[in-house]
Amino acid sequence: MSWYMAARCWVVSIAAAAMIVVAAAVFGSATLELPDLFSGVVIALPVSVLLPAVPAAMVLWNMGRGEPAHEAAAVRRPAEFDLAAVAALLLAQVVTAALLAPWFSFADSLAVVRNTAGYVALTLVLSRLIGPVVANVVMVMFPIICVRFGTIYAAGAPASAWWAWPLDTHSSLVALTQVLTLCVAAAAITRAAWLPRRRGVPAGT
Amino acid sequence: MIWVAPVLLGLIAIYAGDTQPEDGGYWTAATAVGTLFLSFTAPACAACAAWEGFRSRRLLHAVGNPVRSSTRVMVGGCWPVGVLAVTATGLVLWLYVPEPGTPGGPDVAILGTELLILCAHIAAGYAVGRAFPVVIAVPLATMGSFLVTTAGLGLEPAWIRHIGATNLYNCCTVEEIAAPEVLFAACVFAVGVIVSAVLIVSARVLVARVAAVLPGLAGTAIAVWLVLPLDWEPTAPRDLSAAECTDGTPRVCTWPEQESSADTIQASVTDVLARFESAGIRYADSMDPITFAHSSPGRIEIVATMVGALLPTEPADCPLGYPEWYFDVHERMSSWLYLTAGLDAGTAEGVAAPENVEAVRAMRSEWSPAEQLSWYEAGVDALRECPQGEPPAALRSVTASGGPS
Amino acid sequence: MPLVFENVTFSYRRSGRLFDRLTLSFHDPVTVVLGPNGAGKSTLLGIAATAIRPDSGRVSLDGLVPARKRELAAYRRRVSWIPQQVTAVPGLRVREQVAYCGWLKGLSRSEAWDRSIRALERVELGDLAGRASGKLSGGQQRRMAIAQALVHEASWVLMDEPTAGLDPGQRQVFRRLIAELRETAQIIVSTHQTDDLDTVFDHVVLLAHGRVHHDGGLQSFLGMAPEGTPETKRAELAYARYVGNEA
Repeated sequence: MSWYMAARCWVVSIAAAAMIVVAAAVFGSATLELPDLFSGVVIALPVSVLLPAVPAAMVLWNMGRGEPAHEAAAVRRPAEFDLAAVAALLLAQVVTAALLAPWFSFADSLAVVRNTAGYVALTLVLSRLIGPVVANVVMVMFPIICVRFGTIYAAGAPASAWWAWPLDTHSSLVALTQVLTLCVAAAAITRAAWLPRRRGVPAGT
Repeated sequence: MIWVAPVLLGLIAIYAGDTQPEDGGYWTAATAVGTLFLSFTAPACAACAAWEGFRSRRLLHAVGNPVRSSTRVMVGGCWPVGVLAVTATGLVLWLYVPEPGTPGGPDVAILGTELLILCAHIAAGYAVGRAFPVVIAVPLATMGSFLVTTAGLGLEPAWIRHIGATNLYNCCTVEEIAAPEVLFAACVFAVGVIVSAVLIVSARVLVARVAAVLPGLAGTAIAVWLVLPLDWEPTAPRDLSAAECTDGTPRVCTWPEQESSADTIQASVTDVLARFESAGIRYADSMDPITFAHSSPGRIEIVATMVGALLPTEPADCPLGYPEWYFDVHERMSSWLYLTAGLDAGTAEGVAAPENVEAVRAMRSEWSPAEQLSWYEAGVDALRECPQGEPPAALRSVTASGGPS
Repeated sequence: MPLVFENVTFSYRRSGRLFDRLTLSFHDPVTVVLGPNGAGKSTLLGIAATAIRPDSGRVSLDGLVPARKRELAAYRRRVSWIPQQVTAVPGLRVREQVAYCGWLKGLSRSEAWDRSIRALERVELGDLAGRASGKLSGGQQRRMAIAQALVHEASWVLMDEPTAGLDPGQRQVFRRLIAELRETAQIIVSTHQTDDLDTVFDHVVLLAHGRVHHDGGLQSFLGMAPEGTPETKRAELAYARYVGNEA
């Protein structure tokens, strides 16, 4: 197990994930003002929505490390260890959120954990369809796509479209359902990596 | 990269329909609007370059000790990305080509700056691809490039947007050019980034890699110093020697791009001048020549420009600032001049507040021409001075408190 | 305990069909799969190692069919594989990397750790066990890869181009290792170099463009060389006779 952890370098990502919760809490409601030059409006991208993409992008890096050929023909199931490591990463975020609770909103930190889980699941699903590199590109652009196309400017405060779950509040059941669905799909797809693959051993990254 | 090109070019083609240059009949504006698409082109190029950086890292790992230098390998890997950048820039230019017969050609300085900026994104993307694992390098280069080209526009101070030339897109009216300081600063910044990227890629030890950042920092410092005196606008006045001017007072100048509208401009100017003259309004002998901002100015723009030339600009550094009545007087006088120049009330309400137009319309029907002229002259005098306390007595009757008494 | 390919079909998306209903049985202690580049040797071993899934057909080992999920782990436990590409895992030392492969093959941590040093000693890398795996030379990395395949003491060892990058001395060590291993395991070695053919091999499968051109004993293969061919040239000329211009 320790060799697996060292080979995958999970410690780095788990530490980064915990730091992201701290950073998101410190930045709070800070936004990155991105002018949508074509429509003339300014898109406010919350930093706390963008930051979870960092550990999520690192997950595919972790999973690309190791011994791909031997893992592809392994008796143990590295994919399940990977899923466990992702769970540990999310747990580290929850623990960090709990430790920060006396100073920062625990609920907002949970939204960061939810988004990290969603981004990881999204990138795992996409990586099977379009490869890990493009999957990560699409995943890091997803928060911007959500803000640009998923914000509904109606009377009162702007709302988010049903599919733009990263923008939803921590209490949104719709967002939570989508993230959980993505997680289930990602887990199923990742677990299947243990079986012989049609395309053979994935290339190292 | 083969599949990035159609996606990028498709996006450009789609979004080009959504935006228009500041003046479609002016080559500089048509060229400058292309910088808007840097927010697509630069991330795409940076992503492709990061991919090439990763490939060359693998290749160098396999080869061991290559004969070619790191820079040669870098250029060899990046030139197809450069072709993508040139193609995208060319497509944007083609989509905004002004109508045939428009004098001049693409603004080479803006185009060159744009391409140099893209080179900087490519070089930086390549260096990122060489330094990081590919699954992190490509998204990092994409997102970093996107934020640099986009987020700078939402940040203060102004130099952040100038050094990346990100707000050149709304340059320029026909009486403006891109500010040379902005272009030069963007070039210096880009060159600094390119040099740093090349040095980082070539460096073999960590200390050299850290030191390689210095040219980028130096380039940034010089670029910031160049644009620090500028305000938000990335433009400078166009040299009047390119325009054709009339004699007399006022001197009215038309730019080569306005040649096709010269008759309309001449007719409108003559009409407005005649109306002003009959009302007793005179232009100052020492004033700057009047120029129009668009290649095909309509009657409203011509009148507004000629009205603007009559009214004094705010005196600088007034100790008490500018009370509300000061701007109110300015607006009322503009409205009065619009109507005097022959605009009907409905049209004037398109360029001035309707309540001001209504007030001066009532004044024009109730006051004698001499009273109106003396009110106008008192207003010009008041606007020329720093405002102090209450408005001059002669102007009180038509300030915000009500119409003519 | 034969390793059997029955009607195995496999296609690459770009280069098209490689194996078309390939039927082959490996039963001798040491088999060499010979063939030019692109013949399908690595794919064949990859399928046997269950790293690659065929389009159709069946692979089985002692009645274990890896296509059945429940039998996959048992099948994999019996088979070890040295892929063509050796990966040095950053952050792991040589012994750790070998032990990691043993752990992946189902050994307990302590068992994998104990066996890893023995596997490294068999390939004469025992003195480099504490070095970072990325710091090994190409030839040393290949020997580390062999040690990775030996660590869990499988009943079948699949070696894909194991001698690539080894110096003549190390090739000699490799041959000795094969001779030693055959006592405990059955071995399949793929190569495209006829000078790798040695008396340690019992069986030769000659593969070209996904088709089997020869499937028989070493002597029957060498016998295809023209009469009067010197001993040192027999393998090369026999190979040329089968593959000839096609290769």
